[in-house]
Amino acid sequence: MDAASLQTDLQLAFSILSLLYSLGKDVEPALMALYQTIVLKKPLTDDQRAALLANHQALSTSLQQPIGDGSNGS
Amino acid sequence: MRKIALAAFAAGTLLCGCSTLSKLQDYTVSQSTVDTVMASYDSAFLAPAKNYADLARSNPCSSGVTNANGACGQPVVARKLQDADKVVESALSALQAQLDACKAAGQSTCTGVGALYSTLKTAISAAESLAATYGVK
Repeated sequence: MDAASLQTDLQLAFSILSLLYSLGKDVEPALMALYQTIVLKKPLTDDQRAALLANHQALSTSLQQPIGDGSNGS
Repeated sequence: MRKIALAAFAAGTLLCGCSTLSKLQDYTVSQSTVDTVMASYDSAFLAPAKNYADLARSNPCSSGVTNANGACGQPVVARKLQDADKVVESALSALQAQLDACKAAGQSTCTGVGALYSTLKTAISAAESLAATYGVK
């Protein structure tokens, strides 16, 4: 691997880490699920699936909360 | 000669379409497939979209990504994100319901749900494309 490729990989890794840091706890169950199903290639346990589903529903419910018209914004 | 070529093209297209449709109908989905798709959607779209909607509520702006108060969110964009999520949630529920029916029938996987799976993937692609268009991440 040459220096340019290494730098590109490091930039990509840093971007991903920055994204994860900014999203924080919101994506933790999702990332755990992805690690288990894609990297470990194991199905989720019932508890893990329940945690993933609860987190998914919480995110969607929060997103769907009413949004004002922004008339007082600039 | 040209008519024959056109007919051959049309026949090929039809055969290809039938083949694609057949593959879709034969597609097998497991609970792990749904879990992986949901987890990926949560991290790539839902969490950033939720954060953007929070921003649109706390510091709305009509354009751009910042205003005098700092980072801002456009309500019109947030509503588009909400609409995109509604489509995904509907498709996800339909696929999960079919998978639950298969599991209730004693099957660990579900065959013949390719159309539902395709609908879900299309909805997720549209949502992620929308987020990318507006720089929601």
